[in-house]
Amino acid sequence: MMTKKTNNTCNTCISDITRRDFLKVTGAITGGLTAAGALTNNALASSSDRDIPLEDQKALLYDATYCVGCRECELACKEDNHLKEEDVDDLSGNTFTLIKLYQSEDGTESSFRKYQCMHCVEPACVISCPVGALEKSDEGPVLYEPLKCIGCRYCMQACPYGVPAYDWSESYPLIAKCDLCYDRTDGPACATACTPGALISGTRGELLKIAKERIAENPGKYYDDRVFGEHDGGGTSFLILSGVAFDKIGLPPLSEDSIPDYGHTATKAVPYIFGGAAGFMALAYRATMTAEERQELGKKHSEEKGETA
Amino acid sequence: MTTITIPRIKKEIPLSILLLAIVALLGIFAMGTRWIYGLGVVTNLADTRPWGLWISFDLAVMAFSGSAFSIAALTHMFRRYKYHNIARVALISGFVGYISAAAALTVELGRPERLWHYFFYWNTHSPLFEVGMCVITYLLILTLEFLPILLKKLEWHAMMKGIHFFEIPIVAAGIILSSGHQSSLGSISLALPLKLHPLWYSPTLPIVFFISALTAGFAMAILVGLLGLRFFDDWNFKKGVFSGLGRYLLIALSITLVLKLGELVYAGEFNLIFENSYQSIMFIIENILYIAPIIILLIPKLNKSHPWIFRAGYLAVGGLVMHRFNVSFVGLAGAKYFPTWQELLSTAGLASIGIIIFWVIASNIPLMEEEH
Repeated sequence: MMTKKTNNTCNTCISDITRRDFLKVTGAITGGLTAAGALTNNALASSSDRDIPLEDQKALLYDATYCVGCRECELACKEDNHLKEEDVDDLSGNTFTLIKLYQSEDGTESSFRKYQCMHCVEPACVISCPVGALEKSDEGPVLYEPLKCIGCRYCMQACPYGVPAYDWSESYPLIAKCDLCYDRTDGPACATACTPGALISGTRGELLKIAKERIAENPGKYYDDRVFGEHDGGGTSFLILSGVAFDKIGLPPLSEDSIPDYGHTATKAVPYIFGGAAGFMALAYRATMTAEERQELGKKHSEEKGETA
Repeated sequence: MTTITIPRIKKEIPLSILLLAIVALLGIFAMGTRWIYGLGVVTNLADTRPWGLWISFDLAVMAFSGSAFSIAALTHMFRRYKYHNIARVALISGFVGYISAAAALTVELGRPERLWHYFFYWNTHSPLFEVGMCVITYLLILTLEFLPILLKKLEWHAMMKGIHFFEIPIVAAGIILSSGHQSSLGSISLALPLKLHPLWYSPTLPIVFFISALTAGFAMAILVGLLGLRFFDDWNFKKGVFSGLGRYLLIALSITLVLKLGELVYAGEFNLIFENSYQSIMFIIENILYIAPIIILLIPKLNKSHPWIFRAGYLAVGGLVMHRFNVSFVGLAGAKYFPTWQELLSTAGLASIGIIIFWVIASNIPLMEEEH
């Protein structure tokens, strides 16, 4: 099967000089990549220790049982973000928040739901964006940097809540979504506009406490006696209390693992795999050497040693 | 000073290439409509269906460009030198494949003019970053691998020697980079546990993508090699090259199949195959397209005959194309989607451009090593 090395006079085949260099180079690559992998993974771990603890980060509590569907929040959002008026059924490039009504078929059960960015604790969009245009700020809100975005739409695909949206009328579109009114000091525009008290802004710790008090004071009122977003999908900064089942108001059945948890092990492993692959190939290259080639390599080796001595 | 001879394109152009040229021109026209009118007008994509035909095309083409690394590994790392000629053919087809995949990004991305952001804004957590980086570096490596062939034709001997010195490290780096990005293509879908149908979603996706890229590589090398024998008079391969590739294809296909079905059994999702939905039917077709070539390649007489190896090759290619399409839109939850004529035409155009570039290279640069 194997042609002898001496038969390989062709130009693109292996020459004698490269063989030993190759082994050295792959060795260096193996070590280098593995070290680089360890370093970047450590850097990743430390970057997740945020300056502001989770319970002190900005958050929003939406109690659907208080919501009357007046849609003042939608208007306030449009005004504050200078967005076009439009009639849509889902979040879009010009609609960052939307109130939708769920009604059971027999009409006995109904609930509103406010759709908007959930500002996940470990956001899928942030981990998926190849150029880092989406970022989890220290204060809590997930922010979007339009100047970095290349428009690959992986964030739209990865977001379990279907939040990032395009302005499809543009030839060269960008993503748009809620930023929890990052620049406002008096809380998000939607929350200040909410008169029935369905929206409360505050720190995540405060809001969870309020939500849990409400659950404790009104047994049986809230679905599952829990807050959506405390742990779902790794936790969110937009917390929801609902009188009806979460899946009925369109909330996805997430486990306590965040979306990044699903894929991150694979991405983390990449540098090690690269290192391993390089090592494997060096071994394969070595192992498939014919006896003759090996002999010649040994000869060269001893010659070199002789020279240095 | 040595004289530089620049190769001229051969005068006689076959009819098939002319037809492809027409498709290519129409494709460029369709791509133009996207640049002028935008994604919203030209495609059927939506916020709930952000990826369509172009992404699936990219995934499929990149899988077949796996021919470059699978045959290179076989020839140079495992020293099966009889595959040397087919390795060069595979190198060129991989090179061309990556170029058309990259060209597809110029219509697919919302902001194609910002592709250079990949170099400046890194998000090392993102599998898509991994893919992009590996593809860009790998294209560079492929160019370096291709250069000796070109330089020989141009008779630039000094430069050729320079590149030649680093040849094995270059080949090795190419194999590592493409293995990395092929599996990262699978990792992309790991972030979609709720959207991707359980028939395809599995934590083993990166491994499935890697093995199936190897498989696609062998299948593609068989197809291109056997088709090329008809088109190019100077093409020649050592005896037993295709039955050998057939054997590797058989092994790789079997591993892919066992891995995919085994995962379903392990996860207790095997019964989903019989749920009689759109997805399950597509899954069954995909797997038949793996099993059929396995059967062909297992039959002793057929796995020696070129026409049958060729058939096994294109069945496998069909199965792998389906896998990439299934993962990137059939199996993905979202709005109903069928590509527009602009999407279809530009994809056909991009494929034609790839084939034309391959033809130009193959008919002007001697890819075959002389007998020695």
